Amino acid sequence: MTSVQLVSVTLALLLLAVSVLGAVIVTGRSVRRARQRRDARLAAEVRPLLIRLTGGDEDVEEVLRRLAALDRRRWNAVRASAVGLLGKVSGQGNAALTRLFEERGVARDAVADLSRRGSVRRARAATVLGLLRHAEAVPDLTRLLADRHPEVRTAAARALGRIAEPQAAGPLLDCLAGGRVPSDVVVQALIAIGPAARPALTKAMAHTAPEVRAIAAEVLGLIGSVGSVSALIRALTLDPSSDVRTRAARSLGRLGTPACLDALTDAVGLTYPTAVRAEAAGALGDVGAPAAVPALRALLADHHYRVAHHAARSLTRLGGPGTETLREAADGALGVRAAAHAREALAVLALAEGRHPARPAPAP
Amino acid sequence: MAIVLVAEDDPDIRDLIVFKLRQSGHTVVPVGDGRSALGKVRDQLPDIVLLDVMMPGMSGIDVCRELRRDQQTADLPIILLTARAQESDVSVGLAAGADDYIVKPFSPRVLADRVQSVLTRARA
Repeated sequence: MTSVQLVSVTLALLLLAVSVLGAVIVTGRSVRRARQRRDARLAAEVRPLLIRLTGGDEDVEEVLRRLAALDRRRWNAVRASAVGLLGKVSGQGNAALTRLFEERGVARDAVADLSRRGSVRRARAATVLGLLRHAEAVPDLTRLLADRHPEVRTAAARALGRIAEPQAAGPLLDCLAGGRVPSDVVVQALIAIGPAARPALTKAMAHTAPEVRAIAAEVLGLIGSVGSVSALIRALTLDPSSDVRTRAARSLGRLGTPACLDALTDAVGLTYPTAVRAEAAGALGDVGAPAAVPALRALLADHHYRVAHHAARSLTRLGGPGTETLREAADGALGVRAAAHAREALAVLALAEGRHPARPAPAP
Repeated sequence: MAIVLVAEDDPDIRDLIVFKLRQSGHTVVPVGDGRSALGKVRDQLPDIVLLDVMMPGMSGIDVCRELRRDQQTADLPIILLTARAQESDVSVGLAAGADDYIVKPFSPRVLADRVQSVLTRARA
């Protein structure tokens, strides 16, 4: 074969390959479009039933029976809508959708999907199990907290929060170490578990990872765990991590017992790090006890802006004695620095109460 | 019974609300975004407006503010609907002039009752 013939054959083969590839792409697109049109047609046919099931108060049995008996294609066409509605509707609508999912064996299929190779499928299955509050899936979902894909771990954590079984609290806290799941997702899940998460949270206060202790301290305050005040005071005074101490201060402010007031009053002292002092000054305002006024008054002239600022803002929340102290400071009784913070706090208070802030007196 | 304008970008939720409110005997005007909501309100002057907060282009809170600025719609009853349950978001919505606030997930029956309740208050 001459070189000219060789080039001609190569070009012909290349042309053929390009043509075949083009035909495959065009066919693929056509098939996909046809499938989308078919799914849209099927969804339009079935969606009204789904809406009736979700929005109907009574007599949904017939609608439920028809939806449960749908063939796979029709069900797949409205499955995404059904899952979406399940997450956005409560009450009877949610109960009706949950029954539909049970009758179609969706939970069983989702549990099987948790072990599939595709990460999207695993994450989607975790989401569905969470929406269905399928408690039997808790062990499998807990296992997914160690999945190699972050989106699967996050979906599993969210699902565990929706199911809210106390046994998930420990594993959820553990996965904070090394940032395996975003902390806000874990916090929401732990809040959803509520007081039943307290044993795991208390145990986590002794975890080796500071990020775990910090979130445990924060959540104990958010769930109103008054029985954890001693553990939080210990963290506030002794924990080596400044983040843990500031979060413990915030939680003590939320819990607001007399022991919290004493601990926070101590924590505004100079032996504590500045971040902790500032947080404690703010938390004293959350406690709302006028007994904190002397400690906060002393902070108005603090050299650290955040400490003085938080103290002034807290005084606005302590009623008459707090406001009186701010007025006194605004008049210059505690120095120029304290006057500036006090004036700002009084102006913010006036705006919050719908009044015009008083103009500061002109400088002499 | 009343004319209710429903602005919600999620078609499933929109259709569910439309179904529920029609079942309660209301005439419902559905739209899928904030700008269309403003246009429809000015065209049709509904008795009450139900606005999703998170909509593309113009949020429900922006629409609420616009409606409150316009003398023709300043007193129109408005209910905001959102997935955001934070206290601050509720405050922002109410400060924008909303009469009520419904958080997702919501019960369709309770939503219909709340619409009725706001309408009754507005007509009193």
